[in-house]
Amino acid sequence: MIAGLVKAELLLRYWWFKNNKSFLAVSLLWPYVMVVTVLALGLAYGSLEVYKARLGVVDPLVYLFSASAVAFTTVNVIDYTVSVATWHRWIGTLQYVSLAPVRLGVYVVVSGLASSLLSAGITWASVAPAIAILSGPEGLARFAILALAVVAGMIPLVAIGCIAAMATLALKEEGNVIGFLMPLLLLLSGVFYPVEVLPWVLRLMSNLTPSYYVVEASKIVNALNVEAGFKVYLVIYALALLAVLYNLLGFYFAVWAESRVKSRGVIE
Amino acid sequence: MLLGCWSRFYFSFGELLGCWGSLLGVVEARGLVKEYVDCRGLLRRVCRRVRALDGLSFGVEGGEVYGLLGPNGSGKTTTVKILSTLLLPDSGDAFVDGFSVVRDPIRVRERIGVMLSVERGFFWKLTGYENLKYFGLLYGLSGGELEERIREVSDLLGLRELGVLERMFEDMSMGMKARLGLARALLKDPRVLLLDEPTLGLDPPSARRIREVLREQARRGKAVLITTHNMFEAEIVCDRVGFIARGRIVAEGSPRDLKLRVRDRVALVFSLAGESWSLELLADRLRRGYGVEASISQGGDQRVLRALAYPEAEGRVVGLVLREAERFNVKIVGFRVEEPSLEDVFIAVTGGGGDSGAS
Repeated sequence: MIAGLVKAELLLRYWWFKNNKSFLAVSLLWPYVMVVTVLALGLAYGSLEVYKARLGVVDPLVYLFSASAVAFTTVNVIDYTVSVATWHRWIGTLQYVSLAPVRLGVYVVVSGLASSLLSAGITWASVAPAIAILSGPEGLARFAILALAVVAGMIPLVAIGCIAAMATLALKEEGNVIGFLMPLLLLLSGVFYPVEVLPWVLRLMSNLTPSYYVVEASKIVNALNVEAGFKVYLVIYALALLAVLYNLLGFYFAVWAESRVKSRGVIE
Repeated sequence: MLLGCWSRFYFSFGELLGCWGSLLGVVEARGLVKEYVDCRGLLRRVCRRVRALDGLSFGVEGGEVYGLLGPNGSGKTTTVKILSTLLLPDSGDAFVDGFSVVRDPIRVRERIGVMLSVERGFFWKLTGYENLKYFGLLYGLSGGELEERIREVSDLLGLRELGVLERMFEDMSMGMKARLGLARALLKDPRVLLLDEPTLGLDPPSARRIREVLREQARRGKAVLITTHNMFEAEIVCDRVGFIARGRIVAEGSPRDLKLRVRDRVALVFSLAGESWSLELLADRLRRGYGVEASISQGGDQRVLRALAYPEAEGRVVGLVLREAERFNVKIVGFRVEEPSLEDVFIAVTGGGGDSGAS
């Protein structure tokens, strides 16, 4: 059943892109728009050398491309997962997807994961030519390792997304959960500012945020050597731990929220 | 069949319950109660409880089309949503093939085909074929079986001739959308069909085709439940109907048997012109002030007042309507006397005021 669900969701997103070519074009272009914006803002306040020194990376431009792609694809996991519920409600398909013979939480997770993987694939395909030009095949190889870290990071993130999606439904509000979560997660991920400069409360929250570990992986891979290789293992362990924690939390929350959603007549 | 049921006991007690249910009745609703809390206001929040269902009970057998009839807000859609496992009742339970919608929703979903809204419910930027394939996969079909089912339902509902399979959902007419909606409900060849106002707002050929398909599905042994407030549709499609008012069944039976209840009366039909609220006030005055069984409904492009009367009291009721119409500033533009229809049975059993105001 789950395999059929995954296939259905991947096909849905594929058809969606195929029938909306302008949407596909925008998806391919946005990483470049993002990097140019961040770079322009950064250069207005200081040189690339300062940025390089503060973040401790070899090539700031490659880092910016790869870290932006990594950060946004990880944050997009939550975006897509939370949007599953509201998107279906807006277009009127929520009641029909809720008729699938699985729990609603399972559908939200599978759908969120499938959309995120496809979206991440498109982002990576978009950024890959720029990385190949800037740092050659070695840079591409590093980026491939990062892509694997992103996929590992998706598992705990999708659970957070599921909690947020079910909360949105259970509260019977169309509140912009994502509008609040996205900037916060980007800040906590440390992709644009080092986490060390944040107040201690935010640093603590950052350590519980999966995207922080994925961005850390991106920095490590940027300066890949034996010691760095060991650090990648640590990042993967941290992600695994968070995956167990958030998925357990997500499972129990989804079961509770589904019964509340069905009592309140939210599925329409 | 019973032996087959017992043999399944070794595999699953749930399956056995399902078997047992199939021997009793395919769809059973028992004492369903559902209340909604309706809250208004931001600073001074005022909430009230609205009882949509108030102990609703009925059953649908395999091989029959059962019509749930009632005005807007009487609880029809709430009932279909509970049977579809999309909504939990506050109390009571319902069973599909013996499986409880409360305790075993996934088994219930495996056995039902649902059509809830004609206009929405599909992906606007996907074609008819892509939409059907997506929902087929979602509902557990795959590979050749799925393609075969898409072919079968397309032939059954004329989707190919109309070009529905290749057309984007956003470019479809209401009739095409309704056919696609029914195709989705039939896709996994379910034992039970639950359809909420399946022909609402459709052109006559599409509505006719859908009614034919529903009859055909009942002939094939399926249990079909439709909700409607179209009494004409109920008379020609349904084997049995249940009138629902204020969240409970107030009368039940075959359309023919139900009409026998008012065979000794006539329907006085007045075509009216006037403000909507004054028409409602007129009907209310006739009901409460004089005990006349009267109701306002839409008759083509005109609003009509239907009043039931015994032949000997016909003159008195006409006189009352003329006098009160003048009082409420309502103009009578036409009048005829008809044989009582199913709508008149509903007026008779509810006194004409069937609306509950529930959502």
